[in-house]
Amino acid sequence: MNAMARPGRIAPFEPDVEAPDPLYRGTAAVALTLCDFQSPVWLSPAFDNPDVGHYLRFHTGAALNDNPANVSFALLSSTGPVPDLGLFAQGTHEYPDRSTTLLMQVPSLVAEGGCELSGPGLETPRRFLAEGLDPEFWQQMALNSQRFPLGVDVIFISPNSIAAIPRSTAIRILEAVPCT
Amino acid sequence: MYVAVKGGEQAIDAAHALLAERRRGDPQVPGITLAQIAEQLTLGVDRVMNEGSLYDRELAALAIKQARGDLIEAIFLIRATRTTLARFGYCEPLETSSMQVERRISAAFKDIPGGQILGSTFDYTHRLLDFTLAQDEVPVAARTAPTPATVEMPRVLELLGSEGLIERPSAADAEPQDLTQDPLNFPAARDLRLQNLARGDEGFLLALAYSTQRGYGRTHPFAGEIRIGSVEISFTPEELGFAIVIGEIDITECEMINQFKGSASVAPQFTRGYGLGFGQCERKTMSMALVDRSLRAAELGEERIAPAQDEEFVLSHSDNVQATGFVEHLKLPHYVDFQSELVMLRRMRDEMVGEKLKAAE
Amino acid sequence: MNAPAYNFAYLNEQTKRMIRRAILKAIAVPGYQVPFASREMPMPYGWGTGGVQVTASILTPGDTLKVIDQGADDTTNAVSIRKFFVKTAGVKTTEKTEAASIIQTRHRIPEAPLNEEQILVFQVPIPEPLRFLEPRETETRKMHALEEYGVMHVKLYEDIAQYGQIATTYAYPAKVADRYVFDPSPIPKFDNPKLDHCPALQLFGAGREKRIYAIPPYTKVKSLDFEDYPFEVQTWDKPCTICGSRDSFLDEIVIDDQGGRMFVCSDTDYCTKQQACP
Repeated sequence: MNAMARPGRIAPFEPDVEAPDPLYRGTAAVALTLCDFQSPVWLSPAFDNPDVGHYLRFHTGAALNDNPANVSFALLSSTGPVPDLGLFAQGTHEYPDRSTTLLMQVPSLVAEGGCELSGPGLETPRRFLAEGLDPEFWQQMALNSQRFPLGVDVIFISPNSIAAIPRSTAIRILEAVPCT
Repeated sequence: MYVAVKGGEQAIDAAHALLAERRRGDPQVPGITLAQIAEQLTLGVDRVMNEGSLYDRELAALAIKQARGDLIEAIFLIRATRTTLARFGYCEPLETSSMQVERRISAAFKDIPGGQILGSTFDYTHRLLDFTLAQDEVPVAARTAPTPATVEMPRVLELLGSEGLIERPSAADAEPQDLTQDPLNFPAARDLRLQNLARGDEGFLLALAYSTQRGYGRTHPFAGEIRIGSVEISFTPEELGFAIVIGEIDITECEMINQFKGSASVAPQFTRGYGLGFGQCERKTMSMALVDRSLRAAELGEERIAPAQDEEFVLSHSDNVQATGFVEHLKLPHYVDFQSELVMLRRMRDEMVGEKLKAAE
Repeated sequence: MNAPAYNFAYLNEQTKRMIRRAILKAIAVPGYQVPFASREMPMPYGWGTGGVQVTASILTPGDTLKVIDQGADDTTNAVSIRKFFVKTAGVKTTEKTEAASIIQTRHRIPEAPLNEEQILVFQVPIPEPLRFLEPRETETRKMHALEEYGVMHVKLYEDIAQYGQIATTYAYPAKVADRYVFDPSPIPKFDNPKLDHCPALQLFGAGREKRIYAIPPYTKVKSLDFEDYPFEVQTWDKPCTICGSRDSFLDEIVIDDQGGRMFVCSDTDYCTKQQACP
């Protein structure tokens, strides 16, 4: 919640939770806190293995769904291909809340370079860099923010930290420094 | 010198203690037991179970005692208890055609297979106060007709249905939604509407039903069948994979036969209204069936002109726990907002006086 | 019959998850009302169940909770809600605004400025700012979807035509992040400026109407007005009788039946502090 309210602010996050590879403990903790039988989950190929599926079903009761347009949560990793954010549930004009929340695993989060974030939650613009993500991902994110109030919301999780960027955040990709 | 009044917490504690005293009343009078409430004020208990949305006679009796007989307060207690209970899942649909019937009537036909069974009812009593009830006398056992072990009681509406005279009940393939799990959005599907009506305030539904009979939307109702008795509850636990009977409950089911519908291409058929409730609750289920039919106006292509046909109006105001909460919340302090209004009102009045003086000059 | 054991902060985990999901979406779309499956609580609808459910879903054992109603910690409903959380969460409570990590409030924003570590939870009776202009949810949802707020501007204009000023003094509508018009709950318009660019996260819970909405920190919140009739706050021509403040919202206390009145800070914690160090 605090991450979503303060986009790009990186907070230490190393919960004491068991998690099957390749889930980070942080990702597992977020799933356990938010997912249940009413929130279908999509697993990207990086997570599409029986251990992760079983873990989620057993601990959260969440149903796994292979249509990204039908899910409340999606688990992704920077090791996988850049997803087309438009494939996920975007919400509707009358119910923009009915969109997917992405949990994006990355090797690390850094408060510099990369992109400049501004908008609700930010007193002044903030630099943000999630290691391992293609510039194409950030172009997708910029497009996503243009769809406001529709669009997806993203929670970034590294092995020891967490941050988030909701769709309300304006994203300026800084040309000079690549986002990887 | 004004000193801010403190001690709100102590005041509340004292108020609760006084309530407990008033609730008990004169200590010389025997305290009322839950068994007495459940056995002898059964219809009150039934109403609390219905609108509390929880079938448990003992808990409902406790709620009525705690609420000092205020049924809506008791219903609130039951709803709050319901929230805390663990949910295991949903039972199989009730098979009301297999009901152990205690009372079963139809106004649509003089006689029906299985017969008209009056059962226990106030219907034909003369409403004269019976002063013998001031004493406790165990009444003589009632005479009942011997009921054969297997008596066929086909549903009246199915008899009509087999001739194609009435619409088929709308059995949707989709899983029914759960009103207590998802917020109600409009337009609402019939499954959610019926759930809303089932826990809706009896008085509110009664008035709406009455209005449809007096010209505020008209559905030409006939009481096709009202049956009251006990049904089995079956549940399929995940681990077993097959259904087991976990108990029995008493219910009332009302099926109304309503205004027929047809077109140039479709032969006319009667339409239906449905009501279901815990225990013996004829007034409630009949009202529910009339309002259910009324709310189907859009689906049946009828002009919506009456309050009982206004889905958002009916479903937003049927819950008496919500209603009493909001109406009674006016007792909470509102002095900050009132102060805001006072400031503005005084200013407006001063300005008017100022303007009058200026105009007079 | 046994009394059931309650979960931390009363709500079961599934309910908390459902509410947390709603809160996250509310933060992502500032000012937009997220529907949620409000639960029956042990206090009546209309008495703060929305605020209580939000607080119960975000509370951790390490939090310090302040609960106020009309700006005061000692009003009966604030007392009742505070006791509820002490009983079900064992959480530390305080009357000092600056010591609280979560402040649940009805009808006021504290006078003392809030900081980034704090969360303000508002109790909301009617979340829909357009409700008294258009009773149907089906219609108001469309208006928000299309950013069609004409009916509101017409109402404000009609006030000016009839009374010479905008006649709304509390629950004064405002536009959030230049997109959604929202109802800040029945806080006096005096408090509206505090909503704008507030360092704290502001969450709004309507239990009976089943809606949650949010204003992230540092978000633009502009109260509706016209260029020639700009938004203004209430003023009093006397200071607080107890602490002398000229900057706070004052309650009017009736002293006698001769028209005797005195004015006192509505925010009791603020008044106490002002007395200590004016």
